Amino acid sequence: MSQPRVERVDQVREQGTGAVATQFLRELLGLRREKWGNLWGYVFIAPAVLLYFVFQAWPILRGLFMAFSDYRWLIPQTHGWAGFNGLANWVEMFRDETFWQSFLIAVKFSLMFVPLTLILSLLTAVLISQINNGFSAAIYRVIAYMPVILPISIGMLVWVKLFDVRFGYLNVLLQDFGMANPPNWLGSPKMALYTMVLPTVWSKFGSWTLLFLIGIYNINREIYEAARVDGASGWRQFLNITLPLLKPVFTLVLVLGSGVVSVTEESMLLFGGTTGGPAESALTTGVYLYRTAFIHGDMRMGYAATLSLFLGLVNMLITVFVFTTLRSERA
Amino acid sequence: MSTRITRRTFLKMTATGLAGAALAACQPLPAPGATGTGAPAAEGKVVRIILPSWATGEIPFDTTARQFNEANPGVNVQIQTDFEGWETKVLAQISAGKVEWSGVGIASSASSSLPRWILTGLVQPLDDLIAASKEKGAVDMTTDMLPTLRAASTHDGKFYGIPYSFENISFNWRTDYFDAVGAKEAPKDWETWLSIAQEIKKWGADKKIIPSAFIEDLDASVGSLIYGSLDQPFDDNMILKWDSPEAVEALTFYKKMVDGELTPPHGFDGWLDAYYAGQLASVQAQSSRGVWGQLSFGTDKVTTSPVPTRDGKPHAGTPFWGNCVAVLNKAPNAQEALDYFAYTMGPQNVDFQKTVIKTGKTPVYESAYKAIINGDPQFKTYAWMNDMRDQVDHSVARPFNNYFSIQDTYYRKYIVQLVEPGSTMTPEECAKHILEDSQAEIAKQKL
Repeated sequence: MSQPRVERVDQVREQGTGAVATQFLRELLGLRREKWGNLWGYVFIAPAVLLYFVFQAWPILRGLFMAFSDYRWLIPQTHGWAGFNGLANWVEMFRDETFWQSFLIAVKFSLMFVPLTLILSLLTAVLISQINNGFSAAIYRVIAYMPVILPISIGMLVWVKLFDVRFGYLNVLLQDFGMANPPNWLGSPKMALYTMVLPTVWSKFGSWTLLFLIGIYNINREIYEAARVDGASGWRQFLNITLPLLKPVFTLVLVLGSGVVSVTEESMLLFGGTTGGPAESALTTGVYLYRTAFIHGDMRMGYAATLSLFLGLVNMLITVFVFTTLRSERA
Repeated sequence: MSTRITRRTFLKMTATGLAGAALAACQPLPAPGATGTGAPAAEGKVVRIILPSWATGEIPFDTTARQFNEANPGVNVQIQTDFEGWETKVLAQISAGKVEWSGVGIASSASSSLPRWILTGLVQPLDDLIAASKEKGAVDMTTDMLPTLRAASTHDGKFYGIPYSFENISFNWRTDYFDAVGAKEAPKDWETWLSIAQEIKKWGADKKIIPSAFIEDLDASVGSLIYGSLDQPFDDNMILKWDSPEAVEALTFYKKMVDGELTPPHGFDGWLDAYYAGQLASVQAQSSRGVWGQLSFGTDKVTTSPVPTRDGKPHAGTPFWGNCVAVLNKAPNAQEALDYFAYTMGPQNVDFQKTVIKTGKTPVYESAYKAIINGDPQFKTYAWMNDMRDQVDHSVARPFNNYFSIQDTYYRKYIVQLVEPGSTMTPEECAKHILEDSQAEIAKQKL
């Protein structure tokens, strides 16, 4: 039979103040444990939570505030609360022709980039999945994934060399085939945006391929065998088995990769800086806001944060649309 | 005895491990990017200096740090390569009042980076530090320096950035190709340039030689042409005088060169590959590009001259910039950092000046011209640097603001439209667009 509570309290009191304080803490922790579970768990996740707040939550909150301020890097008086300017940045954004031009370019680019990458990665994944030899399949997987791990600066430098108007392999090849004046791939305002699609697809499709491959490898092989027995052709199997069963992967891929792609790094590497290509023909929103924040004049980071937030909101809407459309099939 | 670990034991072990890790983390570590200059152990006054890798690759800052440390017991200069976001980190440290680094480089004076560093409070004035320095070359640094470069590093009467070299836009040309069409000298004016270029085009048609090229930047192309047309290229608002007849004439000349296929497409597409392939006869670019050519083809094949101007007169000279180092605001051991810079880059360090010259960058001290370029027969091939010094000596510095980049952006946008095949844009329209867009963007910068 347990000791009455009054007696236990008296015993602790007799041991002195230190014992009372210790007991108090024990009681407190005990009560909390009933509600919150094992408190040690919180201790263990504390470093991760702290890091999240410092490196994720705080920059997001700070960025949110900056989007409503006239923060200029070169003018310290605009930093902090003094720079708060309400909706002025948003009004400016809606009147900013260059921004809308860059937004349209980014949308146009995305409309080429997303379907192309999707088709190419799906096709590659299906082809690799058809290889029965495990070693050979692994080699192809590595080849497909290689552009993802290659530093983007090196990858784009190679493409710049390939596209060189005078000495690029592509134009030398075209000249060998008799084309007297091959295109100025990266230099012509008419070509630059389309030219930028290819290196970007190349650098990104590897990760999408891997996701599709995981999806394909998870499809039960017996379904294909049953379809074969029923006389279904390879194409029919792809249409009626592979594609429907890959819908969860499509959701993941589209959520991760769709939206208005800002292609900032690719553009800056292909066209050498923040020019946005010849005559700004490939000036995407990412490059425009980078230029606003880090290159021009007083470095208007507040306004750039507004543009960035707007782009984030648009992409959030697209993500919601993708989720809503493919929700029933979500993994 | 049971070998199982109880929860209590596990927690004790974890806590001990974490405490150990925390203690280890408190121990001072070498800052990221430390190159290990062979300095004595981190005792005494530690002077950390951030420099970009291209600078440490071309100039032996590491070696001079080691020599300086040996000559100054108790001082430990460490050269560290810069890293992503260093500027933000240093500014945060300055706000917090505890700065880890003492010196920094490389900023371009008469350009955007040194004004930015000064305006953001990243760097401090050097006048008092120079006056207090006991290093041999410290005082001579400013007195021996070319006046235009000293002025370009000065803001509100205070001196901020010590240039170790300068560059200016120049005419880098293949003497053998020019010689083949009878041109023994670089053209002095645009008319001569145009006619020589046409001759070279005819002469080099079989080898696909391009007579001339520009670099894409405003300052290396039409900006230089405007400098070469006007005595004062900037208006009261510190913008290039785009609405002047001379600026339109500069654009017209540029278009004539491109339309006549005397340059690569747009004036610059693929110029560097063509240059290295021996298919480019001349390029208007910074003077170090001439040395690149000399290294590839020989010192007798490539040389550098002042840029041709509209009428052969010097006018405003050419855009130029000093490659500067500076001392950080609230830097620890600021005096020692300055002493190190004076020891390394001061005019008394002849070996350092020689190294700078060999990289193709032009020295900043009068004494280096006298003693090395004109005094040492081994440096005869760099005699062209005298012309660069003379040109920079009367050149107009860029205004002290960060607006040149804005004009550069709009210049790049419209110059392509002007010279694109089939373009109907006139030079007047091009100049008007550049000016209006620049003014609109600059207006946004003003509070």
